Amino acid sequence: MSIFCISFSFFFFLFNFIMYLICKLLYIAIFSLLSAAPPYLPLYYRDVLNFSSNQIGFVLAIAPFIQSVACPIWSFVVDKYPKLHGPIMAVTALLGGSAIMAIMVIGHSVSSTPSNLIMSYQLSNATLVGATSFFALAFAFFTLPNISLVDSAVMKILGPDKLLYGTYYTRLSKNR
Amino acid sequence: MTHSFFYLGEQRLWGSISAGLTILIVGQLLSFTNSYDVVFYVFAGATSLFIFCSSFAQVNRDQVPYMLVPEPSLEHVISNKKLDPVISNRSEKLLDGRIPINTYNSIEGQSHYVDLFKPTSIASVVREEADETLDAIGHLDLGLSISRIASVDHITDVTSLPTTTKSVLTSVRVSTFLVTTLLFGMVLSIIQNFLFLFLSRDLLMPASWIGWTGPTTGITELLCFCFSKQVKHYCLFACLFTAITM
Repeated sequence: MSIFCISFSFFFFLFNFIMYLICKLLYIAIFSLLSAAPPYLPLYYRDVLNFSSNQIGFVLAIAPFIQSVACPIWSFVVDKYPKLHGPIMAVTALLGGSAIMAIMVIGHSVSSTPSNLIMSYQLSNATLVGATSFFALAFAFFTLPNISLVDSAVMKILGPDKLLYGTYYTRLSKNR
Repeated sequence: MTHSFFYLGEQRLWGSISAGLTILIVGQLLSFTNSYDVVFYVFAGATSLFIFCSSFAQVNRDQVPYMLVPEPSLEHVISNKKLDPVISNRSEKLLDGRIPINTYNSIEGQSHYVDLFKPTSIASVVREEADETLDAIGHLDLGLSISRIASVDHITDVTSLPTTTKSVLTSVRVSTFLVTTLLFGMVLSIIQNFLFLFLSRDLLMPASWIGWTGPTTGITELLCFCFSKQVKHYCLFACLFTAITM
């Protein structure tokens, strides 16, 4: 009986440890990807893509407006299909990540273009801004809402009973 | 196993640590390699980790909004047998005193039981529970402190605000909150988007130095989380006094 109790509690602890490890890794990963590229992108726009201050401000301003629209949309989709919460987070992160990698490809194409072609450089600057804006929009639409999706996913994984389990349940059992 | 192991704040804490460390690491790599590609490689690695973890996240729990029944009223109810709690078979053993809302079939005309029917979000329950536990244990607990704050991020709790549209728009509390949020958003966005540009272009700071803003932000953020409850109690008077004397 004691061996059964010990093994049951071990596997219970192991399952909970794995699920709480997933929660920790979700937070580590989402904050890591949000701290890797977006803070350094203004420097990238100025140094590699040679944007002016106006153009940098324009490209950066897209994200909050798109995020304010995208967050409710993705939250609605996740609430309607709760079993797809994990896959939705994965797919949106993939699409948003691809958009940021496309900005890197744009930078490579700019740095490999010969700089003595002045006319084509002026023409392509507007195209550069347009393309970068499009990929910034895609990143803001797909990846940025993942912050709130991760918050709700972790709350659901922990579960309301587990969040409250340690305190209210023990208080109630003490009173009896 | 301690109860703090389960709290949301224990998980959210790792997000703050990860953010600070990533900014530092990317800054150091940027100075070391002198190429912006490292930014995208670190981003790709973090995205791959996120895709891998979210594929394994089991998030298909049925969402039943639970509400804590205050202990005296629960014992009063059970002893006087005025209400029969309707508890589902699946959750019977775990609930044991907490009752899913909207499962009551009938109610006597007791005004203080009306609160049982007020819908509440998990975020507000987490915050209240963390507040009570912080009061009970007395000493500082970083996980509990982050629990009471992280649940407010991106989740609105409007149970204490006026309900009709006109009263919401003309309420002083709502107006001051919206104005404060607007100004705060302006300040935060300038710092988030243009601080690195300013440090790099005007102060001519190398990327390795810029990277140290990450851990600095993380440490101050965690300290604020830790002492937020004390600041809430003691700082309000200090702010009012400063405003009046100015």
